[in-house]
Amino acid sequence: MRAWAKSRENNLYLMVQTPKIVFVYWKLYPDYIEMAKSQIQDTSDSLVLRLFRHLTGRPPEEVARLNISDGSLTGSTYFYGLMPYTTYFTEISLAYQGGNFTLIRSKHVIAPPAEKIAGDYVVTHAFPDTVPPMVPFTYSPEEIKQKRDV
Amino acid sequence: MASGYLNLVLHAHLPFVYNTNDPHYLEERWFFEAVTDSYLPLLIMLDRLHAEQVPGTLTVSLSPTLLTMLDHPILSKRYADYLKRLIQLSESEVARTKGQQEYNDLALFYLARHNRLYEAYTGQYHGDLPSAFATAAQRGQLELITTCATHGFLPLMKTKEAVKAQIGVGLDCFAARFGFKPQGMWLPECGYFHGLDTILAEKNVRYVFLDTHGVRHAVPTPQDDVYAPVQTKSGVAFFARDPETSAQVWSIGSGYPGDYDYREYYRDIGFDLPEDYIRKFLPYNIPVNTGLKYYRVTGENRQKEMYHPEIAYAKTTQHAGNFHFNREKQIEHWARITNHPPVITAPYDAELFGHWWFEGPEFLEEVVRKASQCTDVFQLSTPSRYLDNFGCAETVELYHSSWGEGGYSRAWLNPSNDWLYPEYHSAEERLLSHAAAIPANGTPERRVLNQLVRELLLAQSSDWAFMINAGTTVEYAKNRVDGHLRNFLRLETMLNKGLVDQVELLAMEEATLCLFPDINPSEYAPKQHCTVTDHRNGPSILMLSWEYPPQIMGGLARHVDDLSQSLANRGQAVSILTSQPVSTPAFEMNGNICVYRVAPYQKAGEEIDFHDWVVQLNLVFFNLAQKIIPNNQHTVLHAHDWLVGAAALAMRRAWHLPLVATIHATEHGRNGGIFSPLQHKIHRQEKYLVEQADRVICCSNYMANEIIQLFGIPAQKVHVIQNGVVPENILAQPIKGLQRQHYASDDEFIVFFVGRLVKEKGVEVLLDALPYVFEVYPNTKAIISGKGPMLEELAAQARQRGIADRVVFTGFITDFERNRLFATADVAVFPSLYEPFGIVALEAMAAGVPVVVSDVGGMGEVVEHEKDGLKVHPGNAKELAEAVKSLLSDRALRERLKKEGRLKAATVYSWNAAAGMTSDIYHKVWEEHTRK
Repeated sequence: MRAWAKSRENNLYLMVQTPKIVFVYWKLYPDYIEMAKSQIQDTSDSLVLRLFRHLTGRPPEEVARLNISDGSLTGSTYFYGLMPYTTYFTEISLAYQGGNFTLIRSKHVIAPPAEKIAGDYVVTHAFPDTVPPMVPFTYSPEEIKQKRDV
Repeated sequence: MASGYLNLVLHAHLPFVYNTNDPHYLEERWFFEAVTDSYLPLLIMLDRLHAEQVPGTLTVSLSPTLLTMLDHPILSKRYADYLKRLIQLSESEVARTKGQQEYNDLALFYLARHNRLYEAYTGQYHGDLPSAFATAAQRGQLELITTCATHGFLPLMKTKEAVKAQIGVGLDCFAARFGFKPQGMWLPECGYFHGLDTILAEKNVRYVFLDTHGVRHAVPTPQDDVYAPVQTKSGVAFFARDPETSAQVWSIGSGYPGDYDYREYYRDIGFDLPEDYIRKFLPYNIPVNTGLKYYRVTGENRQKEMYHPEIAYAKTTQHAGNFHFNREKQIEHWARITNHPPVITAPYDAELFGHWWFEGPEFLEEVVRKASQCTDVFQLSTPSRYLDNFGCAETVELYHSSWGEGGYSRAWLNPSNDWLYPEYHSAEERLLSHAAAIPANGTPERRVLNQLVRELLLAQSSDWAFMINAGTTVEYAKNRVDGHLRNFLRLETMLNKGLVDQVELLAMEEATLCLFPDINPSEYAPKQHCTVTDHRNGPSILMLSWEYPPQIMGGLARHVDDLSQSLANRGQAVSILTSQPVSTPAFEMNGNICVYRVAPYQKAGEEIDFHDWVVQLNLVFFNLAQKIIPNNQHTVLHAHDWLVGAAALAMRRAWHLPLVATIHATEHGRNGGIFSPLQHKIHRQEKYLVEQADRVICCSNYMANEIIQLFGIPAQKVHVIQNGVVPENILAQPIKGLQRQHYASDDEFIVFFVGRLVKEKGVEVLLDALPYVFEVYPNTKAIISGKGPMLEELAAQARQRGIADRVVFTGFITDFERNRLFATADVAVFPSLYEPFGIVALEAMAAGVPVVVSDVGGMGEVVEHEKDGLKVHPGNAKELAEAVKSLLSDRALRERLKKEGRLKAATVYSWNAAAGMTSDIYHKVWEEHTRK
C-alpha cells in the first residue's frame, strides 16, 4: 500500500472495536517531533501514547499508556478493558519537566453501551412472571404429534 | 384485525466484480451463482404468488453494486452464457448418470431447473432483473430499498464527507435506476455509530435497521424492546432485528437450513468430479461450485445420502408452518406487553435463500402463503407501512453497533485487517482537498476527480476487510484494495501535476464507468475548506498570525485583518491561520478570506509555560497546514512575528514554498536589550526567521534599521511598508450626556490613552506628567484604556500621585468604544518608550483627535511636529505635560492639528497602498521561487 505513505499529515486516530476495546494508529514525521524537541527544554527522547478517559463533569484522567520507542513513528495498538458508554481520547506526548508536552491528540470517541450499568439504566417494566420474556423456538402441538425427522 | 406485524427483509448485495477483459473472470461466478440460486428464484416465486393472487409484502434491499451488475449488458450476456453452460453440464450429467436412477433423477431435476431459469431470464425478464423487481414493487409485493454505494462499513470511516458520499451516492444510484428515492436504507452490516442519524436525516432516509443490541442498548432503554421501531432526535426510525427469527433461520445447529433432508451445500460435482470434465463447461482454472449437488445434509458424522427434492420441499411447508406458529406466539406475547402494536423485524441476507439454503425460496413462498391465509394474529408488512400507521414508539440515543461478529466492529477491525484504515483515511482526507474545488463538467480534470471518487468508494467496500478476516479469498481482497488505491494515487498525481493521461484514465473508467456514471464529487466537498483558488492575481497567500479578530491583544490582529481585507479587495486569494479562542469556529469565510483557527492542546501557564505553549501552537498550525497546502502549492507564506515562525519555516521546508516575514516588534526593542533566558530564546527565533525568510517587511524606517543592525541581514532584503488606517472604521459619534458623565463632566477636558498596559507603552510617564497638567487645568480628566500586566502598578502610581480621582482606568475596550472615546477626547497621548510603528496614534489622527506622541521608532516617522501632532522626547514627563497643556490652552492649535492629522491619515497611510506594495513583494518572491 502506498496511499498513506504519500500523505505528510501527522496523524493520531482512535477507533472503537467493541465497547471495551479501542484501536489507535499513529504516524508522526521526524521533522514534526524535531520542531518540538528543538524548542522546548527538559524533554526526554521517548514518546508516550496515553489513553484518557473523560467522564462528564470531571477532568480527563489517564488510564493507560504505551511507551513508543524512537523508531516507531508509525504504529498501532489496541487498548483493552475500557468502560462501556464512556468517552476516550489519546495523546502522544514527550515527557517534559515532570509532566507531559502533548504533540498530537486524537478526536474523542464514545465506547458504546454494553451490558446495562447498574443505577443508570433500569428496565422500567418487568415482564409478567407467567410468560417468559423470549418465546423459545417451539413446535405446534400438531407438529409435536409427528416425529420430526432429525 | 391483526395484533402485530412481521417485516421480512432481504438484503441483496455483492461486491462489484465485473471484469472488462476476462469473460471467465473467476469472481464473476459469485454474481452468476447468486442470480441463479437466489435472485431469479425469488422473482419467479413472486410472479407465481402474484398469478395466484396471494397477497403479502417483503422488503428487499438491492445494493448499488449489485444493481449495476444486474443492469450491465455485458454481464447479462455473460450470465445467459453461463446458464447455457449449466444446461449443457446438466445434459452431460443426465447422460453420465444413465443407469444410476437416483443420480439420474437429480440430473434431470437440475436440467429442468436450469432450462426454466434460462427461459425466465432471457424470455420473461429479457435479462433485466431490476425491472422485474420494480414490477413486483409496483404490484405491491415488495418495498424496494437500497444500501450504501459500495457497502462501505460506516462506523470505521474517518470523515463525515466519506459517510455522506457512501449514503448519497447509493441513494442517487437507486433513484437513477428506479425513478424514485427509497424511503429506507440498509446500513451495511447494520453498522451504526452515534451521530450517523443526523447524516441519514440530511439525506431524507426515513428508516434503517440495526442489530438487536443496537436498539436494546439505547438510552433510555426502549419500553417496547425491539418490537417497535424507535427514533432519534433527528427523526430517523430504527427497526431492530428480532433474535428469534434469526436463530430459526441462521443458526447452524438448530436452524431450519440444517435439517437433514435439505440439500448439502458442500458436496458439489465441481469438487466431486474430475476438473477436466467440469472445465469443458465452466472454464475456470480451479474447481468451482456448479450448483449441481446430489446429497443432502444427512447428519453429522454420517455418510452423505442422496438428496430428494420432493421430501425437502415438503419440509419447507412444515418449517414454514412452524415459523408461522412461532411468530403467532411471539406476537400474542408481545401484544400484551408493548405500547405499540408489536412488529417483528426479520432481516436476512438475500443470498441465504437459495444459495446457502437451496430450499430457502420455497420456504419463503410457504411463509408468505401461510401468512396470507392466517391473518388474525399477524400480517406481513413493510417498515414504511408500519410507520405510516403507527409511527415510532419513543425517542432514544443510539450508539455503535453492527450485526457482525461480536456485535460491533471486530470483524472489520482486528489485527488481520486493521492496516487498511490508515490507507482509507488518508485517501478520504486527500479526496476532500481535491473536492474543495470541483472542475467544470466535461473537463479532463473533472473526469479524473469523478474516477478518484469511484476508486475510493470501491476500495471502501466492507467485503474486503470481511474476506481478509474470514480468511477466504484473502489475496483477492487485498489485491482489490491495493488496485483501487494505486489507481487513486495515479489519479491524484494527474490532478496535482495538471497532466491527465487520457489512455490510463480511460482504462480505469472502462473498468468502472458503469458504476455511478453521473457521480457528483460534491458529496466530498468539505465544509471546512477554502474555496478561494483563483490565481489570476498571483499566488495564494497563507498568512500565519497568532492573533486575529476577535482575538485582539494589540496592533498585530488589526494589522493582519486590515491588510488581508485590502489584499482580498485587490483580488488576491488569502487564507489566514490563527489561534482559536473559545467559542470561535474552526473555519469561516470572512468575505473572501478563508480563516482557519486551531488551538494548542494544553493551557499556557497551567500545564505548560507560555513559550512552550507557543511551540505547541506552531505544531498544531503545521499539522493543520497539511490539509490546506498540499493541493494548493501556488502559495506564498506570510508569517507575522516570531510567534508563528517555527510553523512557517516548517511549512516552507515541507512544501518548498517562499516565505515573507513581517516583524512588528523585536524582543530586544520591547525590553531595551536581551537579558533573561526566555528573551534570548525569542531573540534567536526572531533572528532565524528573518535570516530564512525570502523577504522581511516592517512598518517603519526605524524598524528596518533595527532589524538590519540587530540581526545582520542585508538591507535589500528588508522592505518598509507603513501600516494603513481605514478612516471609516474609526469615525464615531462623541459620547454625550449621562454616558459622558461617567468619565468627565461637560466642562472638563479629556486626555485619552489607549493601548496595552506594558512597559514599552510608557503609561507611567503619562501618570508622572498628569499632575503638572491638573495643576493648570484642574478641570481635566485622564482616561486610560487597555489591559496588561502593569494595570495594578499604574493604578497604584495614580494613587501615589494623588490623582486617582482624576484618572479612569477602563480596562479593555472594544473598537467601537475606542472610536467613541477618540471622538470625545480633547487630546490623545501616546508616550511610548518603544514603538515600531504606533498605529494607534495614526488611528487617533484619523479619528480627528490631536495627538501628543513620543518621538520614538515609527511613531516619530508618522507624526510631524506642530504640523499634524506634537512630539516629545520619550520618557520626559515634563515635556509631555507642556505639550498637553499647550493643546488644552490653544483651541486653534487643536483644530489645526486635528485637520492635518485627519488629512494625513486619509491620504498618506492607506491600506490599499500598503496592500499594493505587499502584493508586489509576493509577486517578486513567487517569480524568484518559480525560476529556481
